[in-house]
Amino acid sequence: MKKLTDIEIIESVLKGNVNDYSLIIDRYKNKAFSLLVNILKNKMDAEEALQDSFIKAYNSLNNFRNESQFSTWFYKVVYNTGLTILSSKKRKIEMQMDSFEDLIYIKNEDDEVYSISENKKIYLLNLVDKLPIRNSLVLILYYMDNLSIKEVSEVLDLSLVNAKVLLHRSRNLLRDLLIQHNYQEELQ
Amino acid sequence: MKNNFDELINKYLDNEIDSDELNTVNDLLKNNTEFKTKFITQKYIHENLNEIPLHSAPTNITELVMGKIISKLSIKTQKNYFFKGILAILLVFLFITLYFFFSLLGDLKIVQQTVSYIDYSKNYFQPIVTFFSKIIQNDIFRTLSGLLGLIILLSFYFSLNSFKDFKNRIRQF
Repeated sequence: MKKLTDIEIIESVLKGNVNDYSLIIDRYKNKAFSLLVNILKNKMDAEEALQDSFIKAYNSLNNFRNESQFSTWFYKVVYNTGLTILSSKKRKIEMQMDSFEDLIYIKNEDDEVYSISENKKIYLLNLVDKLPIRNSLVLILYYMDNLSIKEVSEVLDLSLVNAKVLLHRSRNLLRDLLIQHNYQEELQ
Repeated sequence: MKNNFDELINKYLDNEIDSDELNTVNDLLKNNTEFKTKFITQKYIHENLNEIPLHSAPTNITELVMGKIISKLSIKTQKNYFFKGILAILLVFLFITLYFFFSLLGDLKIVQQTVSYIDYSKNYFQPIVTFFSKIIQNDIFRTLSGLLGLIILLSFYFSLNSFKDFKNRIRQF
């Protein structure tokens, strides 16, 4: 059976078939939840933000234009909802760290992740969750959702150049941590 | 040099490398251990990050969200009925008033009194009406008011379409 596209589902919802919106929820709930867990670093807050995001997106469906992909538009709603909750919890300072601070921030987390990881791959994947918010978001959107760097920049409300710099910095940071634990020896 | 290495590696991974830079990468891979270590590690990261594990959303999230959406919709429908009810009551009052007005018109005395009041008002407001009619007959005023009317109508049309769309159109204009 042919899988309905996001646009087809949205058109159906806008025509009055409200229950079709559950297809959108099922399709995006895990990805949106992962983004929110990364933003809020807390599953309880992420769950609340997830509900808010889906309701906000539903209420704004009329404003969605086909100029961008639905996923890009929806992730922007998710990101902004996460940020609103984050700023209300006064953890926004974590968002504004520069590259030097990235390393300091990750140091404490890194020891914990390294001690529980069985191999380099598990270490790498666990580490993504522990990165500063925007660094982990850029990696998730780019790799997990295969968004282009332009789409990532739209979601995170960054210029194209800044989004690219952030992606590179995040990869470099992961690389430096892997090398720090001598994982590169297994790759040679 | 370190930044140069990073830039080259990232360009390679993003498929943005040109042929000269590719040659440099190949040379460095053969002759520079530091570059080779960074390159291999970064390539490994690039090839494995698409396996980032997803966090599973709570199982009942779909039901929770749909429940909230549907309950909001039913409140909206109730609100619609409320306003329709008020409108219907106002219409009934309007018809009753009109009925009494026209039934009283049959009484000639009231009609005569009304006509005399109208004449009195006409004489009283005559200078003001003349002043305004002169302004209205002015060509510039008529053109301007015509344009203004057109702009208001267009604005109304666009704002009906959607507020966002309207804002975009004004920005483009």
